[in-house]
Parts: sequence; C-alpha cells; structure tokens
Amino acid sequence: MTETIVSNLSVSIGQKDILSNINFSIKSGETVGLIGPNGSGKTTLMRSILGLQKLSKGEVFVGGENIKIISKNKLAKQMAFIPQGGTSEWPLTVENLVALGRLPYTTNFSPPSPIDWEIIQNSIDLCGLKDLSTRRVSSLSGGEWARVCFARAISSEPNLLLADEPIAFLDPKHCFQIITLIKNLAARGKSALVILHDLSITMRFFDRVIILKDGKLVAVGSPKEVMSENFIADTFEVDILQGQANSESFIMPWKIR
Amino acid sequence: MIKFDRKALLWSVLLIFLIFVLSLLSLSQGPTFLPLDTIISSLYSQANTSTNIIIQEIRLPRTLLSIMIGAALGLSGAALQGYLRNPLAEPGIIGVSGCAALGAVIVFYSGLTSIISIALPLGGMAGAAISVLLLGLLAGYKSSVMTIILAGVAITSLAGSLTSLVLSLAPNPFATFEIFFWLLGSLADRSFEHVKLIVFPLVIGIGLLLTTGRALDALTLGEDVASSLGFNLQRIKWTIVIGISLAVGVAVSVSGIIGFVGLVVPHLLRPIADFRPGILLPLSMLGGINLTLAADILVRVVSQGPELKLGIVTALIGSPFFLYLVIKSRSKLQ
Repeated sequence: MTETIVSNLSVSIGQKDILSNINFSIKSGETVGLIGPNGSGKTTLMRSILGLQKLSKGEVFVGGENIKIISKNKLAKQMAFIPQGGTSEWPLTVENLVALGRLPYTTNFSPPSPIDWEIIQNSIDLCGLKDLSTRRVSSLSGGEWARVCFARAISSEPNLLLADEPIAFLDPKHCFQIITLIKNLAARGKSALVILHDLSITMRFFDRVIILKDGKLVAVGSPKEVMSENFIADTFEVDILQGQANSESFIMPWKIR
Repeated sequence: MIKFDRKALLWSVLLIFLIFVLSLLSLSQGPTFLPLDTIISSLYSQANTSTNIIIQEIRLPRTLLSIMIGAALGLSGAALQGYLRNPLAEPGIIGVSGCAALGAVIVFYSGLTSIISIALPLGGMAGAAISVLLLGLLAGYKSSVMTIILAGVAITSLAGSLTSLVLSLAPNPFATFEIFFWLLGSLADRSFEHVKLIVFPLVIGIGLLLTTGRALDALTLGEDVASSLGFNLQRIKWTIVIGISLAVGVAVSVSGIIGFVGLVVPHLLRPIADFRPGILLPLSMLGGINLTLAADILVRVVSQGPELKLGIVTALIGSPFFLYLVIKSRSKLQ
C-alpha cells in the first residue's frame, strides 16, 4: 500500500494560519499538480508531507504509516524531495551528486553496493545524463541541472516524489522533458506531487489537480473538473483564455483584471 | 558515503606513507641529529642511555602529539567547512581555538592545574564548546561567508581581549611570560603525561567527527533535502559541536594555538576528494598530520638559537593562504 493521505492538516506560525484543514489523498501511479497563487501555502504543504514542518493539527500517512511515528530513514526511502531551484554547495560530479540519492540505503559501515551503483547508473540513463556523468554540476545549464536533481531524487527509488516547481526556469523543451520523466515514473506505479505555476501544463499532463488559496484547499479533482475558466480566473485574480487544440482544451493566463 | 574511489584511496596510502617518513624525520631532528638505525634501536631499548631518553621521553611524545594534534586540526577544519558549507571556516578563524586557549588560560591562572591535571584540557574543551555555540547563535547555521567570518572575528577578538585581561591580572611577570609563550603554540618540551592527558577525549572527538561524513555529503544539497534523505540535523549539529570541542579543545590545551592547519589542508585536498565533504574528512585528517609534522620538523631545522614557535610557522604559511582564499572568493561575492 503506497497511498499518501493528508488528513485535517493545519499549520500555524505564531498567530497566522498558513494552512487550515487540508484533506486529500494520492494513489499510487498518480500524478498530482499542486497549484495556487504565491503565498497560498503550497511549499508549506509539501514540507509538511515531508515531515520538515511542524503541524499544529492533523496527520500525514505515507504508505499506510504515520510520518510522525515512522523512522526518518524509512521515510526517506518512501519519499524524495526536489526543492525549488535546488543547490549544490560543492561542485560535485553529476554521478556523485546523483549517488547522494542512495544515502538512505547506506550506513557509515556499508558503503553503496554494486546494486546501489547500478540504480545510480539507471537513474542517470533514464534522465538522459549519460554523457554528462563526469561533468561538474557547477558547469551545467538550467535544463541539465533540473534533470540531475530529478535523477538524484529517483535514485532513492521513492514511492512518492515531491517536486517544488521543477520546471520554473526551463524552456519549453526542457520543461516537457521533465514532465515526461514524471509521467514515466507514474507509469512504473510511483506517484508524484508537483508544485507548478504553468496552468496549461498542469491541465494537460496531470491526473489530478489540487488548488490552494490563502492556506485553504479550494478544489481537488481531475483537471477537467476543477480547472474551469471562471474558477481559475477567480482563484488567480486574472483573466483566463480558454482554447481548443487537437480536441484538447487548454487554458492560459491572459491579462490582469 | 560514496565510492572511495581509486584516486582517494591512492592518496590515502601516499599520505599514510608520508606520515611514517615524517615521523622518523621528526624523531631524528633536534639539537643532535640521530640516524635511522639509532632511532629504531632506541625505540625498543630498555637501557637507560641518554640517546634512549632523548628518543623515548622527548622526541617520541613530541612526534605523537604532532600526529594527534595534526589529525584533530585537519579533521576539524574539514568537518566545519562541510557543515557550514563554507571553505573559509576553520577552528582558528571562527574563534574555536581562541576560546579554547582562553579556557585553558583561565585554568592556568586559577592554579587548578596543580590540583588536577585534567583541568587544563577540560578548560580548553569548555572554551571550544562555548565558541561553537556562540557562533551558531551569532551567525546561524545557514549563514553566508560574510556572517560567519564576522561572527568569528567578533568571537576571536572577545576571546583575545579576555585572554589579555587574564594575562594582565597574572600575579607575577613570569607567569605572564609563560602563558604568553604557551599561547604562541608549540610542541616543544611536552611529555608522555600530555599524550595520556588528551588521548581519550581526542580520539572520541575524532571518532565523532568521522561519523558525520554521510550527513555532510547530504548537506551539499541543503538542509531540507538532507533532512528528507533521513538525516537528523539537530543530531548532526551536536555531533559536530561536541566532536570539534573535544578534538580542538584538548589539542589547544596542550599545544597552544596552532592556526590555519584546518584551513589549508581541506582546501588543498578537496579536488582529490572530488569536492565530496565525506571523503574529505579522512583525507584531511591524514593531511593535517603531515602538515603539522612537517611544520614541527621545520621549526627545529631552521632554529639556530631558541626554537621558533610552531604556531608562528603555521600562521606564516596560513595567513597568505587565507588572503588568497579571500581574494578568490571576492569575485564570487561581488
């Protein structure tokens, strides 16, 4: 059982409610887009699921286990996190950086096994980084770096991938590359929760959408159900253009109200 | 973690070999030069000859202390740089050594050393622990290069002025003189008593620091990702604080301040470790031993009259290096 359940989750910092009473679940093999205006609590929600944020109320279950009770190491094998932008404080090689994803599976006394290295190589291959594996990460382009972050995350073999704006700074081609990697992950039965600002990509590529506004969950459902022109326009307080192409409908932000 | 690949392994073997060579050189150097065969026979001899006494009771403890203190300094520098993710961090620059010295000087001054000999290393440890905590409080644990250096400067100058205060209050000029020279950092005239005094805390400190390698690797990706990879950041912080306090605290309490070893060594070895902070820990420990042994041999070779202080030599090598690093990082900061 690899379902993720968020139940009655609230987070307050001081007097301010950052998130209030959030409920949803993510099934295995499902890709979920998390959208909402800036400051709506998306990153806080993601950090809460990861156990990085103190909850004032509610619970998070990953793979049937409460994240408060499960050991940090077990949790690390269940979930992988790609933060916004991402950093590498030292100029490691691509291969060594991707290898960091195997840390939950090693100890001081058991270094990565040949099996670990096989998984690392697989992750590198899956993300199309084979030719770059000996390059230093400091010399990579934005698109390459995004794929390295992704490869590091999947080398942990997580059941749930949490990514905070993984496509924010990418051109359309690299953007679609990352989306394809996320879809491939789902095809292998893993799930992904992804924070996005690109409404048309969210609508076209994700199985389900969660919309946050002012710390409240205002909608959850399939893109067709919840991403109507009017609702999105009201949520983001902008005018939305809706269109049709190849019998698929799409939306895009058009102008400020 | 990670592949202890051929390059790192080869360098470790080379550094260990160099430690043997330098240790023998260290045993041979002094007012009288002793050849290799004399050294080796003296090490095992029970006879009460003057050569045996020189080797066993003067040069051997000195060499062992070089190894122990070099290991502590090199490793602490690498651990601190990895933890703060900052190549300018070093126990001396950020005030750890200064505070350890202050702690030791207060113990000296109070006369506690004549009652219990363990008081001196305890004073050093306490001073070092306070400085690391103070640094965390002043700069925070995710601070920029500038904040760390500024906080370190503040702590170092505070420790320096408090040390001067204690010195100026010393009851007689000889005591002042003694403490002043001790502060300059030296391994001359140390005995096996000193080795015995610091060996346990030092080994525990080194052991603690060596366990942090995987966490330091994870911290390369920032605190949130390190935590999501299963590391308890609070535990890492305390392991580093206690490890450095034990290792540097007791080292300083025996040798005085020997600066810059923890800065220069990790910096030189980082490319060999392929910039991985975990592998850099054992490499820097070996490198620190080599540098300290070499510098302590140098002070004996170049001095004709009274012996040059080891702390002065490492500072003379280290300060220009520090300036070079500052100039190099200036382009990044602008």
